[in-house]
Amino acid sequence: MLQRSLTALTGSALAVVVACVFAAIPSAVSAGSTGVVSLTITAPVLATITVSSGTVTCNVTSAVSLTAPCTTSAAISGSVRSSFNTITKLTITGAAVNNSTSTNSIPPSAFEMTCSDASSGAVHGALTVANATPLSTTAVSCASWSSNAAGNVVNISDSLAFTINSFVVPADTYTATNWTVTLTAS
Amino acid sequence: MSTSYRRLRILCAALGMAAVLIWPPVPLRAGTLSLSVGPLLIEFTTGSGETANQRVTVKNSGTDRERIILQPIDWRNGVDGSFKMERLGTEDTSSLTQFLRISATDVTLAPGESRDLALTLDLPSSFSNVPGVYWGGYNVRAVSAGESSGSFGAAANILVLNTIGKPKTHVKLVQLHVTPVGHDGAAIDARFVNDAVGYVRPTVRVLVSQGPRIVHDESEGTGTVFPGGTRLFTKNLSGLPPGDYDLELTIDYGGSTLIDGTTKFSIR
Repeated sequence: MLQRSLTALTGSALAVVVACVFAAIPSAVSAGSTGVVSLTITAPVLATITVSSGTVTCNVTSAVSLTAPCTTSAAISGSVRSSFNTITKLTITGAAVNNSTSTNSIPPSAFEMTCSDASSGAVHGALTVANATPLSTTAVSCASWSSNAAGNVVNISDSLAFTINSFVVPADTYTATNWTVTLTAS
Repeated sequence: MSTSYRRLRILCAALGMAAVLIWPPVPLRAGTLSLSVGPLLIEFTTGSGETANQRVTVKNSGTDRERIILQPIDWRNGVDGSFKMERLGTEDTSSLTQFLRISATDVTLAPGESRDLALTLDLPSSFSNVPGVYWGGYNVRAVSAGESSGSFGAAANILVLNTIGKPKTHVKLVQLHVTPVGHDGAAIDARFVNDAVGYVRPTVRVLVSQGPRIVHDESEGTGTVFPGGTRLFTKNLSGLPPGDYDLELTIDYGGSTLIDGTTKFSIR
């Protein structure tokens, strides 16, 4: 490993508030008019997240294979503007799905999630999307934009698809609730 | 189980539909929850015995009434850079959350309504003044305040970092390995450690050359790496014709030095 000193190329720590002050110092030629222009730009990390939350319906009546597809209209939209070298991530946090009397329960891990991304934006890092990723009670990545020197500026458009492991589900009727879509820039 | 519900299940069974059916037992309108939060990342430089403030704005961007709930969290980034929300106390002395306050933790907003909240970091004088970084935050979650319902809620995390003094920053490259993949690909695995007391957000540059010719030059950030934290950097290359290659991986962590590693690999 080679370690070398290169002070000229080093970056600076991130500041949430980027303050740029441009000072125009008049030249000696125009000594009669002195002026200072000061400009402050505030660029906080902002986000809007919209979740169109259809229900998730899985009917495994005729399923003969391990994995049965579910139908859902769940979609995520919104926008995010994150700053220098932060990772922007959409995650899904699952919760157990119960029947009406809470006598039967399906763990989140019985569901697998695939995310399709149609987001737009010219400034962002590499995108990674979930493909048949098991859900969990902890956050599972749906879409992630790796950190980018210019930040991630993205108009978000993602759709969610689920399958269910039909072999581990007791026959009953269930309602999926309390799943959460979370946006983070870290 | 209610009689009507039992009848419904019998009807479904008669229709051959009742093996597993996930659907709302009562008709509910599918909801659309929309939440705006800013800023998502707050960085303070507050010493012991000092107080810092930041305005946080939450907005109901949707069309139905929403209840917005803010809960304190601990968190950290995993070895792959992924954010992990943790139970309070998990980060022990690194956690800032017990010293954070927010002016409201449960607000109900009409469509289009926004609310400015005051987030305050109040460090007691007994807090260590040793240079370093401490972190915490809030999870902001929107739930329907009306009849609308669905399977999903919307949320965002407000992450707070506080740097005390001017902590030393540095990273150490501890692994660099290339594995040929298929007939024209290679998988790069690098691992580095933050071996100082300040946090870093490094950029990794991957430079692949074949003799004097550069065939791949790409830079990518790795997100925040806290003191003591390890980061795994992976990169898959493709379209490499057979031959011998040199890989140079350079980490710019924002300090006074660049960390550089080199290795060779071949595609056969």
